[in-house]
Amino acid sequence: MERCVKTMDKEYEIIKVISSVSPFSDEDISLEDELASIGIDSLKKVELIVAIEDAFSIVFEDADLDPVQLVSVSDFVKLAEKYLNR
Amino acid sequence: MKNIDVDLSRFNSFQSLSCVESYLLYILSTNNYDYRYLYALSYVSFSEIMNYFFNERKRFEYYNGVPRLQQIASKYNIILIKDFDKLSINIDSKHDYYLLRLCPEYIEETYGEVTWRDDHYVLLANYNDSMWTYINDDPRDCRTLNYNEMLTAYAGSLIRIDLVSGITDKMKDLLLQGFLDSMSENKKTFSIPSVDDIIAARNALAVLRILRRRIYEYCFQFICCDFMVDYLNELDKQFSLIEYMRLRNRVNYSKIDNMFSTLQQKDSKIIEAINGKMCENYG
Repeated sequence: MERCVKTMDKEYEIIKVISSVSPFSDEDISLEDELASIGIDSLKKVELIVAIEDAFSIVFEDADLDPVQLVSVSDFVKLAEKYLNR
Repeated sequence: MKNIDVDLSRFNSFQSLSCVESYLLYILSTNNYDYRYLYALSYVSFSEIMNYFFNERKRFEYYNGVPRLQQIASKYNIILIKDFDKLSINIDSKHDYYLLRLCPEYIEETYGEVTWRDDHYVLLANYNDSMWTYINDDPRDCRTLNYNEMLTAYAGSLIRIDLVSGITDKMKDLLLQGFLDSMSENKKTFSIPSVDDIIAARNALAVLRILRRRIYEYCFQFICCDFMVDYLNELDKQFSLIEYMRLRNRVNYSKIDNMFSTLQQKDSKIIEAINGKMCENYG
């Protein structure tokens, strides 16, 4: 239960960062949303990468920054969690 | 004026260089046009794009290396397009679609950001005496304002678009010929300058990725273009990496020069392959 809550907390924190780049508030963003549908185009996607790195003090490797693999909110959440769980 | 069904996800599919192009594609797609035929005249060489940004030092938002989609649609009599400077929002219901120019101040206040150009337009989806609904391409948005709010947001210019004709077989043939001619004519090649401007580098890649995706989508109607996919994805990735360098202030021009050199070689092979396959089948 505690691990589940912690996971949800991390997801929420990541979504908060996403909402700081998107015109949508965190309450209006769900894991299933495609980034394009929440106002995150290709340029904002990079801005989001930098925002997540700064918010969680992580540095993504170039190989993980493939725009083709980062299409939805859940893609970003999974990527961030991969680094946060290291 | 025709009412428009609002489906912002349509914008995901468009390869546009401007808001007007986005709205034109939106209009055409909602009317079941295969707008990909308009992408036929989108070939420009890698070196021409580099010349535009690094020798001529021009800007993305005014890129004129290919004709705008609305110019092509107008030339082939698919649409009639006219722009007006009008202080009042004068909608003549006999005409099909209207784009309204919005004040930069309204855009910044509403969306918290500044647009690429001062002349940003929205597509009027529907209106009545009291409510005006528009669609914005970037950021994607559908918004309803009352008349006074709309007047405040309005910047004094309209673009009117009327649909005239479908894309006929004759137009498709002409566009195909235009494509083949553009791929084969001996254009002046430019020496590729060293990259010394990170924003120009990013914008050059922005144009290249849009125009190459247009070629992909256009040609896919005629030949299998799967061989382009890896290259298109690489363009997206390099575009992101350059923007990342810029935001992190870790610009490495030597790395970018190598990147562009590699991309140019790949681009050249891709274009040669496209040209070969298209000419073999349709030349």
